[in-house]
Amino acid sequence: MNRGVAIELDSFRLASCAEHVPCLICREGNIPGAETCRNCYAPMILAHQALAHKTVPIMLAALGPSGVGKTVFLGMLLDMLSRQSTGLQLSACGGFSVTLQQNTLAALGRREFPSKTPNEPDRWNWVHCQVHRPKHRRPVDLVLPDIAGESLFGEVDRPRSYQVIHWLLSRCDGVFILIDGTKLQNGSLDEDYFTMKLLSHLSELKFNPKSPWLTRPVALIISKADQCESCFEDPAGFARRHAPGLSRICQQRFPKHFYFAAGVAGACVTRKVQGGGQQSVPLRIEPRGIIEPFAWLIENLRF
Amino acid sequence: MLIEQAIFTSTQTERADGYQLVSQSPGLSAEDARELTVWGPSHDSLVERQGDRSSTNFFELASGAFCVSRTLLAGAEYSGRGEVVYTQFLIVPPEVLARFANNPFAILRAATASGDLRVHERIPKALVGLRLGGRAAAVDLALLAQLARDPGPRAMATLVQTALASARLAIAADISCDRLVAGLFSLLPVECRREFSFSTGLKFSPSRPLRLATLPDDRSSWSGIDRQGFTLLNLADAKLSGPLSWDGWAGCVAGVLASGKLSVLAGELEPSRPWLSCANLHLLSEQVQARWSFPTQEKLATGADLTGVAAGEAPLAAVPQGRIAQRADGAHIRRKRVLAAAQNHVAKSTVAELVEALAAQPPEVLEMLERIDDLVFTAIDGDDRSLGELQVLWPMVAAELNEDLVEQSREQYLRCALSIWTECVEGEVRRPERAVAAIDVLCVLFED
Repeated sequence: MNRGVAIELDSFRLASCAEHVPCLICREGNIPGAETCRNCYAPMILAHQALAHKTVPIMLAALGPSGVGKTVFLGMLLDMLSRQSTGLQLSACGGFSVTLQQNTLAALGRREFPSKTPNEPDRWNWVHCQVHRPKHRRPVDLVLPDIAGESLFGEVDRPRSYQVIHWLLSRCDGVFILIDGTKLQNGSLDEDYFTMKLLSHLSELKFNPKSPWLTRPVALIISKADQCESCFEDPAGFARRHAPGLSRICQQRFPKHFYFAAGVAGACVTRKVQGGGQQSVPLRIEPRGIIEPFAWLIENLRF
Repeated sequence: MLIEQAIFTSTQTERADGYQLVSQSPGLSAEDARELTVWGPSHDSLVERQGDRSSTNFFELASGAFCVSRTLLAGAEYSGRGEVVYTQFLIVPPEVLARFANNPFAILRAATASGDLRVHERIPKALVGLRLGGRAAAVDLALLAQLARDPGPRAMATLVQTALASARLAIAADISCDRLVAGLFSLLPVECRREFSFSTGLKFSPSRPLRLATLPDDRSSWSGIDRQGFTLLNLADAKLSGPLSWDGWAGCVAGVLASGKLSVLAGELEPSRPWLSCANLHLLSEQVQARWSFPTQEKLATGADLTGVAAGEAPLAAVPQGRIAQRADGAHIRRKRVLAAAQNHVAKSTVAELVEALAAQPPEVLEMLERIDDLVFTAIDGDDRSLGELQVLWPMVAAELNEDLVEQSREQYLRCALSIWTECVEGEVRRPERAVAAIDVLCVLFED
């Protein structure tokens, strides 16, 4: 008869996997090694970092239709704040958090706008960073995704199509809503309708009764303002003139809202692309009104 | 039954800009439309690979229908931000899929042939439901004939075994992934095919959970796919690796492909077996193996050729002449009438040389030559399956035989084919289709 020996069972080793890590966005339990959440496909590294920092980060979201300039705005914002030596500053948590600003600046450096953000949530760029505020000793953790406009439209059109957007919008503490200034100036009502739909969708979200959506801050940014200079002077007036529906819904339902105008490219030209389509080419980088909406949101958040 | 359809691509519409379900047939349900919108591949979704960048996709919808789609690049996007990815979805009811042997590639072929699957320059606001006629054979013999040559029986059997054993499989291959997956479907029993959702050229995404996916050419991008639950199969490695063994159905596949008996496979997969699934596939494997004798696992595993002689193995000693003469003549005697005309022109010395050369061959080679004989004559009689098998078997036999014997065999078949040609074209009864079949056979035999 053999002498008894202690052998660790494989099944016992696997027992460690029984300890689930909740996704930061949807709170669904995931195995520790998962790269993306099995429910909403958000990156699980956000959850691991939040556990390591022992904090629940604040969440912001940049919203708007496809092509409005969300990626450019976020990339430029992160790059500017991460290089500031005074005032508001950002420091990235993890290499993945630098990718968005790196890609944006690299594309602008090539006189191109960054490539289209894919619809698939697992291919979005997510940023986890720490916000250092003047007169505050402790930094605040912040999570900020770069969502595809088409996916956002899909979720607004058919709620719960994209779990990640549903949960992100439910939980986020404030939003940037980007509106294409050039389209508004040209008389297009698409931007007005889309933003009205979006605001209406947000106002109907019910997640935390202590913090109803209507009390959260909404920064309305008229993008591509370098191509419609007049909106820099009075963004709210510009919105009232060109997007009356949006102005009204904001006044009625969102007490904490403010209009901004922002532009990244100092000047743009359009060129025809071989095989169809027209490409907008930034001639120089001249960011204006990028930091102000972020500073306003941070100031109006409840910590 | 109608096949509903929809187009997912990036464009500017009254509703929205960017990737969206641009157009759809009226019968598409709202639930299916929502699922397709989330599933739809957007910007930069195609795997980076040399050559044609497109993808064939297949998966089951929550409604119980099956989605067969084709994704490809269709010029510049309206915003000039890269190339637009264009996908046409066909929503196939299970009954229609069954009529096409549960083969999504057969559905796409039929839709392409009817002109319904194409890139629309101007996408219509509404599409109409399709009605695809006809049906498909369970096995694509011509495709299997090609795959038996490249990547070969060992790689294909490995692919079948890994696909059956893996919950999610990522395939790297240096041949067209469309052909490879189509070949895999032809090798699987019809009843099991619905269990294999796949994409032949889309990047992985958790929002598109698929059982089979393919990998880009760049190996550095393969790292980490195991963490997403994929088993990685590099077919180039499978071709080069040492001894392999295949169980169950993969063993049958290895035997069929190595012996060139594709018609056996086609015959076995034709009857309907509603009880069959991947879970009980071993029952069919046992039945097939009991009915047919294939080359042994050892010979297949060590890279043995279909003639049964393992690589590097010494040739077998010649067998008694009487036995060889009987076996070699046996095949020809069956075609006495056909050969009679040809033999009149053959010099007696040539026949004697051929008999002498055959006498020096091992019995396995003779058996295979006999099989070639059968295939040549049935192919000339117009049997497509035999022609398909001949396409597989002949190059392998020809590679093993010495050049003289190959040339002599070709000469005999050429004489036979020419006599048939003369008989068909110049004789009293004109049968051009038989003459064409004879030429097809010659094309196979004389192809280098």
